[in-house]
Amino acid sequence: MKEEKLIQYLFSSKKKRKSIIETLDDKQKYDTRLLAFLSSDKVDAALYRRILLQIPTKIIPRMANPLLLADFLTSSYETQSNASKILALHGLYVLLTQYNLEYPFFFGKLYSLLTIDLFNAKYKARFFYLLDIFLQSSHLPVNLVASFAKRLARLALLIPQYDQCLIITFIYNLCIRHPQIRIMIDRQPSQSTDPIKDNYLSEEIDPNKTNAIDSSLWEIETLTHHHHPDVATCALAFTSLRKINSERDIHDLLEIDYDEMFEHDINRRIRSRKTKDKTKTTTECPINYNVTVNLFD
Amino acid sequence: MVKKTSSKPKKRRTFAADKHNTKTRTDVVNKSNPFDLHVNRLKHDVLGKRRNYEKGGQPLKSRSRGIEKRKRTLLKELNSVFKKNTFIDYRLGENDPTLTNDEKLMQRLIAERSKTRLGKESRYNLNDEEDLTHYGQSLSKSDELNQKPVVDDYDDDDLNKGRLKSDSFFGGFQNPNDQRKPQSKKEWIEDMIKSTKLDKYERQRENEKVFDLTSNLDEQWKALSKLINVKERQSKDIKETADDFDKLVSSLKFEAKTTGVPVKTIAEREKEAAERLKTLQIAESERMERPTLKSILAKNRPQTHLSVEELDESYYILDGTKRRVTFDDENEADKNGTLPTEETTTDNGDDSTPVDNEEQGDNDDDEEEEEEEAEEKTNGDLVAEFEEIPSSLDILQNRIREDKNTINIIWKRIRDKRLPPIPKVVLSNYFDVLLDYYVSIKPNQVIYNKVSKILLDLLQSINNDQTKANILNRLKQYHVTLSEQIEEEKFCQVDLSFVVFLKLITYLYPTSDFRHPITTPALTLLIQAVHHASLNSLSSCRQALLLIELTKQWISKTTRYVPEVIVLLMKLLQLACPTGKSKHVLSCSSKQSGNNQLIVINKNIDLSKSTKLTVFSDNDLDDDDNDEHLAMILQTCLNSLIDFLNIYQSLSAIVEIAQPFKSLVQTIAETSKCNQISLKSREVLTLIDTIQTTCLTNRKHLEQGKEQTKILRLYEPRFGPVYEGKKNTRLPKEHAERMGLRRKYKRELKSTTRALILDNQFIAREELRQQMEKDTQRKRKVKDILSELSMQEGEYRKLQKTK
Repeated sequence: MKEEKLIQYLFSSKKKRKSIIETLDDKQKYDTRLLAFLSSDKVDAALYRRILLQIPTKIIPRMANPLLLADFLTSSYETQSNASKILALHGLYVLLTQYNLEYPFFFGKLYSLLTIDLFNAKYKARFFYLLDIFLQSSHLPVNLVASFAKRLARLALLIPQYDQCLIITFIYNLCIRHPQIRIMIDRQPSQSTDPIKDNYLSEEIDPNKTNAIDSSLWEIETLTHHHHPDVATCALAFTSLRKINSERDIHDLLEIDYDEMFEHDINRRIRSRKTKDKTKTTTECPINYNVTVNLFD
Repeated sequence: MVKKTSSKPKKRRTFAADKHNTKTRTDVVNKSNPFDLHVNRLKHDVLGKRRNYEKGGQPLKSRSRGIEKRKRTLLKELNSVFKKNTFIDYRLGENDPTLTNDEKLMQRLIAERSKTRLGKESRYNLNDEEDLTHYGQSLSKSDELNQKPVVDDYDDDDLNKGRLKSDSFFGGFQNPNDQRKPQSKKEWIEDMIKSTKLDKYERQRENEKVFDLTSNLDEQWKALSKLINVKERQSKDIKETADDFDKLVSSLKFEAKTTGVPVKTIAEREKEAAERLKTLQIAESERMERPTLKSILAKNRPQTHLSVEELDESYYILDGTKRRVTFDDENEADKNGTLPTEETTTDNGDDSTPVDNEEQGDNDDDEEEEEEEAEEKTNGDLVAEFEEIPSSLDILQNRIREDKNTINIIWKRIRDKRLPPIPKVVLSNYFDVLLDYYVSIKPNQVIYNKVSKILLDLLQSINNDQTKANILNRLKQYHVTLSEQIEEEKFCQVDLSFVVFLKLITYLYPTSDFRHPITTPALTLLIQAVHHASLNSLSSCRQALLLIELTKQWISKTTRYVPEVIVLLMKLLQLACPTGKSKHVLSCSSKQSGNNQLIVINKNIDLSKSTKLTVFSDNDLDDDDNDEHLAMILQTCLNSLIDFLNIYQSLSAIVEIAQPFKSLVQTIAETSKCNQISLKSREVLTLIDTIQTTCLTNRKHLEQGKEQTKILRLYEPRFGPVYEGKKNTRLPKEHAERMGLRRKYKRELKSTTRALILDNQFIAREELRQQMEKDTQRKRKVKDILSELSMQEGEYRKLQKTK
């Protein structure tokens, strides 16, 4: 009973009354109790996730010194589970931006998060939302941004089609934000030292040492041949980089799945390219004409 | 005036003088009078300047012309200036001096005549109302009196018919048998006349009778005609069942009607078909192309008042579910409408199936009439109308149970051009039914091929919204079941009908299109199934391989990249790798595949006799002795990996795509206990190597696109109007216009004042002339009077003297 009360006190699931203005004493009391609770072994998986979810929005505002959470967050950031990593990342983000937390090798850890399993994780959308924010800084080294772009492009070769639009657009935005990495797109064969080999070191952990800037985004070129028309057009948009200098919104792309794509495909009206009349939509659908082939050989 | 006065005495001159004068006049006409020349001396000779005045003016000539003109105009006005009225002679021909007296008379006569005859119709009458008379009596009347009544009914046939016997003429010949008593001539003639009159009368009576009869008959016929028609129709219906010959005749009749177009030769037809095929191929390849950069740019161009969602088509509109394609609703409504009718037809069909064949013969005759009414009927009625085309799956299955050849028979009926064409609604309904049948039957290669061929043919004749909506609805159903399954278990195992149906779609619709209303969502569905394919058992692995095979078929033509398939292949190969031998690139979740070593082969199996993996092999794969199946699956897996690598070898990132397979296949090659499998894996390895090297030699880079060239701003020279030698060319146009007008006004004022002065001079001269004329007359008259008076005085004095 007591425990439940404590949990209720620490992580209130109900909506908080906004009128409460807690004094500093209250906040300090809360700090100590919370840290004591977290260091104890009473936390099971569900509660752990719930804590992580609540940290950025509910717990941190109630704390006197949120930096005390840094230990907890880093430890959860270094666990195996992708979900807890992402959630911890959100908490860390708040600490980094609002409470001047110093986090060494932050981007390196972020970079190591980028694996194929990430796309099966539960909080994928949240991660890419955060990643978008982290990579918005204009003070990032070119090597680092290039590594991220290259790694994402590599991953894009293996991820399901609904995420491909997101990743391609993400790289596209990176290219617009950091025009230096555009060298990866339109590399002339004479410029690079060794045109035959890809200079990118995929096994390297440090994003600053991957030589990604010497590589090229062949993966995007491959994705222009993607089977789905939307993905292909997304990838083809890279060819218009010089003409258009505005980023694309990725928030709509964060949470898409097959069902949505299917709905979209079915309800899409195909504009006939010949007539170029945008108001007129063709309802006809082309059919096969080859009658000589058998269905099953 | 001066000239005029001078010309008068000239006429009175002698002949010689006159002659001379005329000669000089002609000279004047021909060449200008040297004394009548006014030449301005040229002060400055300017080159290139037009000199109009060089010919010199002719002041005398122009002056005389002016005077003549004034005489014609001003003088006349002057003469009538203060006069109130004048006489105008309107007599015919009086004003024309060229007419002679006779001609004037003629004109007047014509006018008089035309005045008396009014109206158009009498215009061309020559002597209509001229009533000629003779001794006071009009001749026309006397004509009337002289007319005799005409015998109208006299026809020469009388002679031929022998009514007037030959003996009435020329006294006749003596008839020996005739023993008439001699008659007096008068009697005889009277007799003859009587007989002829009687004859005539009788003939008239006869004619009248005949006419009456015919008219009566006509009326009766008209009254009867309707009844008779109805009777005829009924008789047609009652007519006994037509035999084969009759049918043939009727069909031939129909054929003759329909084939009005010139019959095409086989060569022509082939040519046409080839052309059509060519255009279709071109259209297909056009659709296959990716959108050009320009169109993408056009899509991406930020439009002023549009939201972000509309910025790019490729973005998913999150509330896309709200938008519905309109025909969905229509289709649903359609379905609701047709459902009850379908039920009724099934009832009918069950009852009438044995009679069906007998009725068919009758239907052929009746269908012509029915077809006209067909359009007025609703769809449901239409479907019921053509009973030989089954309207639901039950009917079709019943009929197939009775006769295995039913589908062919129906297809023949549809193709038969001699019979009336079947409306498209019925055909699309049949398309639906056939699709149902296709999905419902057990896997059988022959039937699948046959039905799919018929479906394609059907689709080619009726490719409309209904068929499209039909297919889409089926896709939606499959999607719903699939996503339900995924939601429950995270991974799914599709059933065979799904695979078969998607296979059919590849057969019916072009999969190579960049964007297609049916194949694009179908492929999305397929990829979803691939992505969530469960690998728990061998049969599910087989299912997954079937899906991969299907995808390969889908994208083989256009070499489109499908990452999910690559991932699935990778997972499958991972299952074949013994643990600990190689590190796994992908982590398979436990739900997807329970056994990590599912297809690890532990025996050496001879694979030479094992068949290819098809839909039709139905045996259970998860029994005890599964090594053979296992090896088969692994082999198929490697085969499809080879296929995909071959398809994708042109992609620029094939090195990265193939890289993870390398280690997997390597371990399989090393650890596999089956020789053929390890051989195969070596083959794959070499293939990967060759592909990677060829790809690395010339990799295609992603192009950034050309930078838009900015046009240099050039300063163009300013072009002014051509210099015309005038100073004020640069002045504004209005001003120039104003100046021009002012100049014009000045010039005109000058000329007008001059004309006025000249007019005044002329008037003064004229008035002076008239005054002088009057004065001289007066003087003469006074002189006369005075002379008379002096004469009188002289006479008087004489008288006085004599007295």
